[in-house]
Amino acid sequence: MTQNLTQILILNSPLEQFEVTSLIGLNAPIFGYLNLTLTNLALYSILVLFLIISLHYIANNNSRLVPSKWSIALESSFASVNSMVREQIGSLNEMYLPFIYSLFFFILIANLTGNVPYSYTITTSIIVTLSLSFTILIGVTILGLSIHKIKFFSYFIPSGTPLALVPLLVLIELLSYSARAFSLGIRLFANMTAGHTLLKILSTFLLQMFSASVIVAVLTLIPFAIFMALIGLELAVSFIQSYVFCILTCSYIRDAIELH
Amino acid sequence: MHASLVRRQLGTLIPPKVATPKSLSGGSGASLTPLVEFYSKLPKGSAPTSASGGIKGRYFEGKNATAAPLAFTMLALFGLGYTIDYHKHHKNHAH
Repeated sequence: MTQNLTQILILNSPLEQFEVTSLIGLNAPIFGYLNLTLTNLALYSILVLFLIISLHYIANNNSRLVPSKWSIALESSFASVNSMVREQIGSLNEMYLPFIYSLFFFILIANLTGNVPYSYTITTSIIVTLSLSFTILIGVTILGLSIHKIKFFSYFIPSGTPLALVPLLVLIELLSYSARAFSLGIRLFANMTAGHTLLKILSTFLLQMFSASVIVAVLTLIPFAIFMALIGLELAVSFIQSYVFCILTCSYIRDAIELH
Repeated sequence: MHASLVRRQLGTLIPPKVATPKSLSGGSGASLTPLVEFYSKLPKGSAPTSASGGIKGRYFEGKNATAAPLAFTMLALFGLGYTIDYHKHHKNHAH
């Protein structure tokens, strides 16, 4: 009985969908116990890569002048990312456009892929989002150091600070600078995880209500409509979070280039 | 006033005689041959419709562009996810 109950609890846990599990594994006693495993995280990362490349291959319109509907969609999203980079980093620094564009499409397609039922969202893994944000922060710091050399550290002292306050303010600024690495990743992770958990919990309730009796099932159509609206909200969150991630990355790059 | 001075001042107002009806219609018209040649070589009629086959030609190009591949992708992702979930369930909790 207890075992049965735990099984049910494990099965119905709304957090079960975020588990990284091994699909195919190789554990051989070569090279000091080599462990090669394809996890669902790896599989869906490969899928996201495949989807992005095939979208860009298939919507390239064979370099014709008159675009098809697919290439219109791709061109307009390119134009949006381009204008975002121009506004945030400046038209002189458009060399960061490919980076921001790839980042936008990676996060967007990863989020959208996760919205398909039974699939796995790679952005609900904190290792993915934190790796992205830490890489960005390290890269931005290197960028700032290479442009401004030693003067980069003036970033941590706001202009007009009395000398007595400098040690304290440098600590505070350093903390807020490094907190960016966490906040950027955790924002994406928390938003995606919260949304997917909510949908899982609600759908578990809805399933039980739908399978209760005919009258209850008919009445459940009302909360089901709200649930459908929440799915629409999740789709919007997928777009918004990738946009927010990119716009913040842009502002961090601008900070490193301009130092305030 | 000197005649040449008057002509120079009026020269800004009176255009030079380059194209007269005689020089355009009369004569051989040899100066226009490259122009005529260029236009005679341009393709005539409506633009040819591309008829490239394959998935790309069928679902993505020109007027064939539809959102069907999007639905196919979602269905495929659903199928893959369901398969993985089904097998995971049976592996961990044998009945």
